[in-house]
Amino acid sequence: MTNLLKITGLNYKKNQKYILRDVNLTLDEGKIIALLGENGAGKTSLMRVIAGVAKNYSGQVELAGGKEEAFRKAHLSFTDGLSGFGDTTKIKEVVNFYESLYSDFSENEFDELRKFMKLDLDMRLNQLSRGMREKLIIALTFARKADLYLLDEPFGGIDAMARKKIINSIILWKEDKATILISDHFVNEISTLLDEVVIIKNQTVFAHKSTDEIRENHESIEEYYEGLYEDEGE
Amino acid sequence: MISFSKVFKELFHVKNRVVHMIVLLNAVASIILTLIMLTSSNGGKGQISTGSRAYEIGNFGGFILVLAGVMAMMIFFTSAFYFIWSSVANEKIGRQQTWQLLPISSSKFYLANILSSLVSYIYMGLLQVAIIALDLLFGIMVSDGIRKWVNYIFSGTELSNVEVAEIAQGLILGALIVLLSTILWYLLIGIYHYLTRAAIEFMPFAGNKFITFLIRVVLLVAFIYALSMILNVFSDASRIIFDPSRAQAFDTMYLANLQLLILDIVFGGLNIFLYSRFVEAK
Repeated sequence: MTNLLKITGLNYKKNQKYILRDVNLTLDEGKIIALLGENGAGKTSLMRVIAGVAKNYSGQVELAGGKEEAFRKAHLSFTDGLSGFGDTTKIKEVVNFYESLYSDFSENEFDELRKFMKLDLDMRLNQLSRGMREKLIIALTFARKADLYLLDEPFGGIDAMARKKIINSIILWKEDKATILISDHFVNEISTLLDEVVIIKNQTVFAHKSTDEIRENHESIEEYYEGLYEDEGE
Repeated sequence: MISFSKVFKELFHVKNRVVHMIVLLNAVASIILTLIMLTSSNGGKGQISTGSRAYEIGNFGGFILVLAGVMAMMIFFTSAFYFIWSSVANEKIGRQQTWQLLPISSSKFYLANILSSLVSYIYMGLLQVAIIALDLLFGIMVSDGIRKWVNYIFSGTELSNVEVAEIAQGLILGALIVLLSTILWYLLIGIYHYLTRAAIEFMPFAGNKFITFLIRVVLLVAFIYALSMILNVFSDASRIIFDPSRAQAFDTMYLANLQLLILDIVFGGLNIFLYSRFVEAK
């Protein structure tokens, strides 16, 4: 198995407070990995550092053999909140933007995903509900042929039925060698997809295990994950 | 990775949407203002005078000429509006995750952002001048009076080659001053924004609005003070380097351009450093 992502000695602070401290993480290619942790643990910050949109950190982040931010960005696809587009922007204008700027963006792939998500190209962003917007973001993310997909709580506003459908289809949308790092609170729903689990706790990588290993010793991944916080709840 | 030209083109396209809207608003507002002016003066005499000569141009000819004048006057307001809008847009775009996720280095993206605003500004100016020129051309075609007036203006104004060269030199140097000043304006806004952002992110008081406000005020004062010191240094240096009383006609313009260029390079480099190191996506 080839290492795709290698993070060494990562420290990230904001306002003089550590968000991430001494994070070391290696991810192999071709895996689907859950990034779990309670709210404020640093999951989004870790993804932002990997994606190169969080700055002023120390340590090393290497993706597909490259350390520079621009190189990493070319090899990953991160769920973008579409902040760069006005509310009246049509979906097809967003697609035009992605197509003209990302050489790995496939319009055909997006079209298939769009139809799956039941989105109309002529719809404007301010006409989309929260769930529809998240579906659009997922479609745009997977329409790119990237080595690493970073999905930051992608299913929050999506209804349960659609969520199940999308989760079951994710494996079909990625290339064999591509890796997906997904942070989500619906642990049980995504557990069938997962190869590995990374837990962020106490500002660092608390645990990094394969799902097979977890299932050998626990009933489910959710049980394992909840077990880590049991003492704190009392 | 994406090329600089692709990112520049996309940013230029985004900014041009606003340029087209501004130019359209200028045209519509100018037409309305012209109509108001002509109707309030009961249509005027339909005549234009230059020196002792008067030319009959009719009401329509009057409308054409006044419209050209009003549009030319409005360029001041459209420029100011675009200036303010683009200054804010540059900073907003710089912090948007959609743009920060593009696989291009921070320095190239920063340059593409600033230069696209500058080129849009030039495009807006040229577009407005072209519309005024078309208006006057139309006037010349349809009004005999306007045609005669224009002929009178340009007759007897034969310029020698030297005079033409001097006029061209003056226009080019003046245009360069405007362009370099525009870039400097964008850079100064950027520096203030990035220093403020870096300071706020560094300080331990994350959510304290009063502290954030205080930081902005202190930095603004320090920034204006530092800038005035730099400008004084430049002013003293130019007095030492050459004697203004013996300066040739365009020497001060050449010097101003050089000073602006140096400031642009220094502040540009500083901005690129700050942007790459400290400015996170929202």
